[in-house]
Amino acid sequence: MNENKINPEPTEDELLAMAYADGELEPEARREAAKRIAEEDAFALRVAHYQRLDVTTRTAISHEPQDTARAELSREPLQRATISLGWMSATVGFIAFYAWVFYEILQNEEMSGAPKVFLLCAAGGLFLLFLSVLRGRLRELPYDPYTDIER
Amino acid sequence: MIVTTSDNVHGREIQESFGICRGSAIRARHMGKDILAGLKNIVGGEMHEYSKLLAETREQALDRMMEDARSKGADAVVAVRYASTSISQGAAEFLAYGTAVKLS
Repeated sequence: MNENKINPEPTEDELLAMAYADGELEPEARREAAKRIAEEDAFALRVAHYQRLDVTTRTAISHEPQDTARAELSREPLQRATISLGWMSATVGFIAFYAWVFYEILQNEEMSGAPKVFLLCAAGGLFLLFLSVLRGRLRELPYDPYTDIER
Repeated sequence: MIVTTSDNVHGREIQESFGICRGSAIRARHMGKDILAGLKNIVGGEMHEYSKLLAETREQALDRMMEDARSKGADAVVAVRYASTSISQGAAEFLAYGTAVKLS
């Protein structure tokens, strides 16, 4: 589905999705549409697209003087390089540091086996939980109409 | 749908009242934005990361309140109020509530 393509004659589904996003449906029709959202992924995505448009239009902001300075700064190569290098360096540093700490604990011969197993379980469990949360967020992101709001 | 903070809508009469309608939302930015906002503490200025977070949460709570009103058969919400609280660090919580009504 290409949402950017302008269709001169909107389909019945598009009209229904627009009406749902704009809150123009009667209660019974709204319940029917809500049922379709729960069952049909394509229709849910269509509604999310129109909700995003609605929210973005509603919250359109007037330009403030500092916005210009911020936009200019974000385009400057030095600023972009600083941010990219900063994130890369910090991420690699943190991961390497925690991996080293983890390795040192596992290699520590003064520590008995049980705490090492507990540590492995805790770290592994947290990592799996993080992956599941991340997966959930990535899955719901296309349906979240609020991410374009600026202020 | 008409949404207003006043107790009535100018030029319209309240035909039916459905009682309170409400919507709440709690949102967070990702850790990267939290780190940048934390660094902003050192130099001062607006924390855009959190301005955006607050705006996203506000609009989501408002939409949920309107959806609650619609489900009751209302076409307007009067006496709308916002409330916010803090549940988790780095997250914003908004509660929007008002009275769902049908206008003549």
